[in-house]
Amino acid sequence: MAETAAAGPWKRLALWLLLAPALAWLLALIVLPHVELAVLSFRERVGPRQYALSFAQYRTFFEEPLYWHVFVRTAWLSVISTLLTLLLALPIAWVIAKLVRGRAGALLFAICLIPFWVSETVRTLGWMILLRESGVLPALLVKLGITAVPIELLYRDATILVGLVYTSMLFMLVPLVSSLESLDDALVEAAYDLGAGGFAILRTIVIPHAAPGITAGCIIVFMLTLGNYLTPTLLGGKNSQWFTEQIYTQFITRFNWEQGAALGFLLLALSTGLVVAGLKLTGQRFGDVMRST
Amino acid sequence: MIPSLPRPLWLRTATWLYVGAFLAFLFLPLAVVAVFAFNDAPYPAPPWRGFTLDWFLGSAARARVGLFEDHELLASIGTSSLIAVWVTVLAVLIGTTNAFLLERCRFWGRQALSILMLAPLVIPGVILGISILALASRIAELADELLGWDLDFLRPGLPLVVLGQFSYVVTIATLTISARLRRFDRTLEEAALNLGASAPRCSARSCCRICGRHWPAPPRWPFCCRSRISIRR
Repeated sequence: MAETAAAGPWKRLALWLLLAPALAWLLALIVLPHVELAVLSFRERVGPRQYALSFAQYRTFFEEPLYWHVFVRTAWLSVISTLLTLLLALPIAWVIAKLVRGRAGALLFAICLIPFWVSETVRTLGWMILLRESGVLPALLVKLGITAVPIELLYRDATILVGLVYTSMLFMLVPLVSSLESLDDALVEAAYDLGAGGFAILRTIVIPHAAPGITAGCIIVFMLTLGNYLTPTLLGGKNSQWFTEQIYTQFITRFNWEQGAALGFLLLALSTGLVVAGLKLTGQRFGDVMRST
Repeated sequence: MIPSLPRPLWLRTATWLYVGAFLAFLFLPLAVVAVFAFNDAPYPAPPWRGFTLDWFLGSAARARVGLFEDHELLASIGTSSLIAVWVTVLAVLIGTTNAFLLERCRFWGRQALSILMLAPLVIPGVILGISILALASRIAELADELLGWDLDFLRPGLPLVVLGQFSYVVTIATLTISARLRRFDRTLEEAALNLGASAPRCSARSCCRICGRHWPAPPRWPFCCRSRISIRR
């Protein structure tokens, strides 16, 4: 603060004017709501409009196998879907950043982004038309003679994964392309001249260089997947058993806000824990990673 | 590998096959929705039963109520657009002040603040939604109990939806605008100051110049992220 104070009153005023909206946003919409959520999760209804401090909500979570099952399942499917998204996006990002450049590259990139201007609801509806029993793909399979009768492709775990990968593709592609674009071709050429094969180049040059972009993409995709409600519910139906559904049910259907808040906090702990573990594992720092997007 | 290195034929073929398959994956769901909007059948499912505009122009008299006759549906499109406009305006505004704060000011706690600003990206949307809902209800209840005020905008409704979307869209706006601001050559601003431009005027002008080309980008994000959290509806 000393530096700005010395620079004159105008700069100081400007600082406070810029600081005010940022603080208002962070306090009123991020920090205080989470404090309220924490307070909610640590209380229990003991009578009409009477509440007492308790760990009952958290105890319910650990004693009820359903919650446990759904919790682990959601985390597991989210990790798989994140890795699948990375695997599918990496070759495309390479083509956009390295193989087709200039206008053609920009055009291909734009084409890949266009589907994401449409809302998630419409895209999911498209998948439902394609995959349901009376849909396009089962009819095609019958016509090709692969199956005798139309089979139901919706309401399976694989379907949920397809939907999740599709929904998060954009958030993986953008950081990947921007981190690959900054890779100097000369490094790849030098490695090739020194006798490195394709896989060695990928492992020792491309991946280390793109690591911040890969990590950023993985973090955002993982978060979006874990917190997704629409796609698992529509594509998975009653079998989807996604953790956000449990939270939604507690809040909206059962009006048990205390239980919902506790489940929400557990989800937050899970996501934070997994992201921190991922950062530690890859030796990245959160701030640097996020700014590379 | 890169174009300057020799690539075997199978690799080139495989690359383009993959690009084709990827684009098919991206566009198939959209194409299907677009095509079946014109199918002359009660359900969006094969087989194709002929072209019709009923789903757009149909009226109650013809058993199928088309989009342009369904006033409830049209009103909901209006609601969505209204929310999107509000969220976009607010997010770009606060995103710009945030970007200037992070890129142009030096103050104690700047690093911590910039990390906190990234937090909404890693908080699952549902949790952000329910926490804002819980806090708003608490404030509304307190105001009602203690002061007898009826703060209707804090009850579930459009103002809360706008706030909820805004709370994380700002982060995206901040990231894109500050990335642009960082690349901007500061000496241009200094030159303007030397030539007699006042400081606020200088900032405003430079901001419009550099962000002008970039501003269309952040608004598009809020639009496409809009459907993310259904709980906030």
